[in-house]
Amino acid sequence: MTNDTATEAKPGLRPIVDYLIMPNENSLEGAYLQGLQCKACPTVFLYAPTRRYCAVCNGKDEDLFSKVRLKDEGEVWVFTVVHQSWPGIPTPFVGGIIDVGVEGDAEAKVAVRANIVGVEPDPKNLQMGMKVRGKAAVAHKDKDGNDVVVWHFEPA
Amino acid sequence: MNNESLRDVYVGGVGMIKFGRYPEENVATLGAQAVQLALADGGMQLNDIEMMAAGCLYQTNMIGQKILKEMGMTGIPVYNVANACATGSTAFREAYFAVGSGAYDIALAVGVEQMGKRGLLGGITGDPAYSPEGVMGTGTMPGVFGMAGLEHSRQYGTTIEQFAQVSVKNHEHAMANPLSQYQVRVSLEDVLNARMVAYPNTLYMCCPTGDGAAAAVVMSKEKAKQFSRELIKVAASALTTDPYTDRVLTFPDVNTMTVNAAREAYDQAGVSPQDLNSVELHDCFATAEVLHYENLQLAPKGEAGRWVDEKLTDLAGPQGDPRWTPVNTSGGLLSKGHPIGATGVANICEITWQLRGQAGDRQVPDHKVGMAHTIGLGSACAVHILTK
Repeated sequence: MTNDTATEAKPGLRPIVDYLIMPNENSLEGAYLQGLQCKACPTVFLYAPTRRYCAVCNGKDEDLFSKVRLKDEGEVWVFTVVHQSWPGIPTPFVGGIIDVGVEGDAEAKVAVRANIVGVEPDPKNLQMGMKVRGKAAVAHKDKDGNDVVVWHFEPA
Repeated sequence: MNNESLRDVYVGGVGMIKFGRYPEENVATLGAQAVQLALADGGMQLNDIEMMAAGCLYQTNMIGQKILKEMGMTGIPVYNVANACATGSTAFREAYFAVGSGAYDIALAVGVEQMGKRGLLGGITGDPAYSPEGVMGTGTMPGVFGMAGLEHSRQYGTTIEQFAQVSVKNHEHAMANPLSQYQVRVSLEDVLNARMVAYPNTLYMCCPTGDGAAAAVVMSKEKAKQFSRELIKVAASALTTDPYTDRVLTFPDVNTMTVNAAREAYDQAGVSPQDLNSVELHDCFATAEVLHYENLQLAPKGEAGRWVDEKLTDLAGPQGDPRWTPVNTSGGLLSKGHPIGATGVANICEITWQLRGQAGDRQVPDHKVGMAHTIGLGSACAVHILTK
């Protein structure tokens, strides 16, 4: 399970996905989600260092994408409470699809898949459309002892 | 796709083994049995088959050839296809094209899968510490389809009971299908009180894993007249993938590609949703079936829940109502089972039996037009319409 109390600075923090950016090597402070916005169309994708083309407008120019910072605040599009997952995955947990906005662009949005924490994993505690706020947290250690960092959301 | 340049294609023989668990068998021996059933049904021999398309998702290494090594190495061309849960449908479509193009007169589609008690599909690949499952949401199928169901609830107020009722119906339909993996009658309370897998999908709202095989022979009109008891026409074959929609790269869109495939299939066949006498649709989860009532235009947008309440897709529903179209008379994936590669071809078997009036106690009266639908995330959606 996620450990959302582990917020103190530590060495060896490793984000679990490429779009979770950690400006401070030894601290969760300042962590944020990053997107790639197509300059041609202007769809926002979750950041991936290998994306070259736009999946919407077929844009392929060099310098097609702007790196954009995603907002911490979001809104739950849908959720589920998972009671059975793959072997080794602790349950229950709340999985959600969260719509988040883009800093500096009032229109743009992108969906993020994440856990919703800070509530008991029961559907009666959750609502579609509820406001949530995202933050980085250490989930667990990898086999080399690094702290694996995830991004999850709490009710705002 | 414009199918007007293709010649007409007919289903000449179908067969499937009872879905279940066959640990003593393998995909080749399971597939061979289905092929033999389809050949016997069509009154033909393996030597009559000119081309074969074999669908299997998890054991994709030359499955068609392995089947021929079990039953007759005739030297014909074999295509092995994999296309997620639309694998069997894609094999059927390849056989359809083989005959429709005029290149072959008789082609065979076979779908097979041996899943055993595989549990939840998917799983962790790579370093488990960096798997997002459980720490950044869920990608399990019950979770994804649970969320897809709640998305419908969010938009239209569909209730958990309405989703659950689909499972009751499909299990009831399966009581009349001896080839179903499960023949177990369940009540609404049974479904709602079953172990929760991923809200709102309880255990009985999730299709099982299992083993199975199904086969269908397709042929030109001349050959069909020569071999077959009745002319069953493949009136439409549509295959789609996801177009870009909001959220689709994060949260699979289980709807749009079905909407698009259905629209294309109706256009190819020149029939309307009201013409359908039954539909085999992809009820991998109870939530999914409800969504597809609208995606396949059986129900108007937002009214799928009402369709459940009024039993408009239930064999025991209001027969005289013009909206009545039984769905998943076979028991569907929820009860008949979902051995992935076999599923799309098994749907063709069920519609063929319905069209011929061979569906026994689950027969829909005066059946003239039927639809078979599969979707696989990732993505692939196939819709076929058969007519007589």
